[in-house]
Amino acid sequence: MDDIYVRKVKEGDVEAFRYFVRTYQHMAFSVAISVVKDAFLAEEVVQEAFMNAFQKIASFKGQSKFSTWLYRIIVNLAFRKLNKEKKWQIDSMDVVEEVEPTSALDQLQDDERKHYINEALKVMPSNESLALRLFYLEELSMEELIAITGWSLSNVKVILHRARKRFYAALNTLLENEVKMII
Amino acid sequence: MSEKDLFDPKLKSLLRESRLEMPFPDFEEQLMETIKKDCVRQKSVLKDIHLSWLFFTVGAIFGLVASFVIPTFQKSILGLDIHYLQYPLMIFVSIVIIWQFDALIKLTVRQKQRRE
Repeated sequence: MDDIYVRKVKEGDVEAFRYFVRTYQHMAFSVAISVVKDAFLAEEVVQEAFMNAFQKIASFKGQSKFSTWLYRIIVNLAFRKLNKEKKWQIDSMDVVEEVEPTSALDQLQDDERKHYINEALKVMPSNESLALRLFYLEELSMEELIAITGWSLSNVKVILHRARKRFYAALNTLLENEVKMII
Repeated sequence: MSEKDLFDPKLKSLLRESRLEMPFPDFEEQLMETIKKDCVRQKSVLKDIHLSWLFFTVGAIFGLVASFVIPTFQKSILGLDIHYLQYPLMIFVSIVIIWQFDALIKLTVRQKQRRE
């Protein structure tokens, strides 16, 4: 489906680009916010990414999926924006303890659970939350992750491994703090 | 460590629940509006570049012809024979042509790169 619309846009049909905006805006926002951690900054990144994609669509040869190409643009812009805003959170090399996923989450309502999960992702380093979203949420393969981020295979594996542990640890901490506040 | 080692259905389902949506409902409309405006601007920039090349060519030809023809006139300006103006005029015209040509080339290349 994407190929048809890519061809249409290349042929000068500007309105055809709406298909990509409608299809990918939510995932684009989700990826951008993983890196920049702020909704307004993420919106800026997504807007700029779509503009770049539109302006450079002639150079898209279809060697990868359109979504992979778009993800790459978003990730590059998001990290650039992060550097510009000097909000880059250094990826901590601390040893993160293995924590079992908490069962307290199961007792929460859907919107509360969503809130805590997103809060946990927010406190994580940008590269780790990005890796989690791309690998577990968007279900991309390692190869796609490498193509999008430019990281090496071993780096991707280490980041994913560390990100999983940090995510559960962050989630547990958040829930424990919440329980303490209630008590 | 393989992809299988990272297999975690619990995490997958948790993240699926955290899927975010664009919180700005007018995002699509605003973006499409910006893209359309950009298209119009691009077309006008291209038109301006074409016009610039046309005026540059006309100006360059006129300048070269003038720098060769004017010195042949048997006239004087402020008591100075116009013949003596030949070389300063040619140097001036050459500098202007090279300067404008360089600027136009840079502008055209930059525009082409943007479109690619």
